[in-house]
This record gives sequence, C-alpha cells and structure tokens, in this order.
Amino acid sequence: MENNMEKDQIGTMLPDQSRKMLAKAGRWGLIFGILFLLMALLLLRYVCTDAIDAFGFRLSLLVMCVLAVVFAIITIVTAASIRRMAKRLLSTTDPDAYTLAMRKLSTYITTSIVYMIANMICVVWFLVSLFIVEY
Amino acid sequence: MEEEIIIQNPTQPTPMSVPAVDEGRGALRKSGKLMLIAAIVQSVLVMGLYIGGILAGNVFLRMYDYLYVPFETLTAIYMLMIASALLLVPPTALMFCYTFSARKAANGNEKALVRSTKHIKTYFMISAIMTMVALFAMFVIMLFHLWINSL
Repeated sequence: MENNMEKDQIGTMLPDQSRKMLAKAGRWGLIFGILFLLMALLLLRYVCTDAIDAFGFRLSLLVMCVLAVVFAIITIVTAASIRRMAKRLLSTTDPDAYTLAMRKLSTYITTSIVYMIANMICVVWFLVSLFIVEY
Repeated sequence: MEEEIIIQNPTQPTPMSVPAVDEGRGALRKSGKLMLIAAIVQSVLVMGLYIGGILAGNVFLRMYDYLYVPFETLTAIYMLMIASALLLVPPTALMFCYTFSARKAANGNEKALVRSTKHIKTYFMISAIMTMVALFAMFVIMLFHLWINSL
C-alpha cells in the first residue's frame, strides 16, 4: 500500500468532490455518446435519401456520418470506463484508478483530434465538390 | 557496514526520501496538453464550418434555379453547417478552461484538481446539451420537410 501511495500520490489524495465529479463526468459522457450516436444515425439516414443524390458530393457527407458513428461509439466506451474508474475510486482507495481514468481521457482526446482533422478534410472535400458543381 | 556508507556519503538521500514518480499527475498533465491541441483544432473546425456554411449558402442561393433540389434541402445543409459551428463554441471554451486547470492541478493546486474534474463533467454535459439542441433542430427540419411535401 505504501509503495502504491508513493507511486500514485494524486490518486490517493484525490478529494471526495473530485471523485464524485469524475463519476458525473462519466455519466454525462455516456449521455453525450448516446445522443451523438442517435444524431449520426439520423444524419446517415438523411444522407442516404434521394434528395441529396442530385449532387456530386454525397460521398463526402456519407464519410462524415460514418466518422460520427465511430466517434460516438468511442465516446460511449471511454465514458463507460471513466465511470467505472470513478466508481472504483469512490468505493475503494485504489490509487491506480485515477491514473487509468486520465489515460483513458488522454486516449479519447487524441481520438477526438484525429476525428476533428478527418471532419475538416471532409468539409473541405464537400466545399470543393460543391464549387465543382457550380463551375 | 551501514555506518560506513553513512560516513562516506552523509549528504546522500536515503531511498525513501527520493521524490516518487507520480503517474496520476503525469497523466493529468498529458491530458491537459492534449486538450489544448484538441481545443485549437476544434477552433479551426468551428471557423471552417462557419465560413463554409456561409459560402455554401451563397452558392446555393445563386445556383437554386439550376439545381433540381428542393429549396428546404439546400437550406438545411448550409444552416446545419452554421448551426454545428455555433454549437461547438461552448465545448471549445470549456476545453481551454480544462487545459489551464489541469496544468495547475498537475503542479499541486488542490482547488484546481477539483476544478479540472468539474470542467471534464461540464464539457460532457454541455456537449450533451448541444447535441440535444442539434437533434431538436433536425426534428424541426424534418417536420418542415413533411409539411412542405404535404402542400
């Protein structure tokens, strides 16, 4: 135990308020992930209708929707694991739980950076194909 | 034997007094740094979506007579781009807030530690609320479509 405390000071000295906040963050993350998945699936359904088929840029919108679905699933998985770690922090004095939660968050942020860059590429692709339609 | 070591190195710290590696603090600092990069990328995305939405709207309005697509579909596309840009602003602001609180918390500020977890919670909460707003807007657009088609 003493060795663990030395290895992970911030995890053991974490205030109760922080532990509760982390659990709430996990819960809100889950809600966000589910809502985002719902929105992505709705957009996917919207893109697959014939109304947008008249344009040449349907594929860019389709890629954007698929990316959104993948990101939503990653959000749900990350939020669930953050919630699990926060519950472990609340019930036991496991010092590694906080570190693991922060590592999960870091991975999620890295994924979100990749998602945002891919989204930006899709927006540019969409606009370029739009201007090709115009001229 | 132990006495000899102490005499030879009286200023040498004992193994117990060596500063311990704080993995949690390191992970917090790393997440703060990554969040700063994410916030900057998201800011660029917000600007891109906003400018792109305005440009797309401009093109749609000029090209309307040549495109065989309902007007409300065109409006929905560019309005969605502008709306998503505006909806991304509050989470981006919270991402910047988290960056600063995580850095302070990693440096040993206990209040900032509580604040950093609060910022993560608020970030997810605001994102969820903004997604709800976007879903509601999509629902209204769909109703509008149905109403237009029924006329």
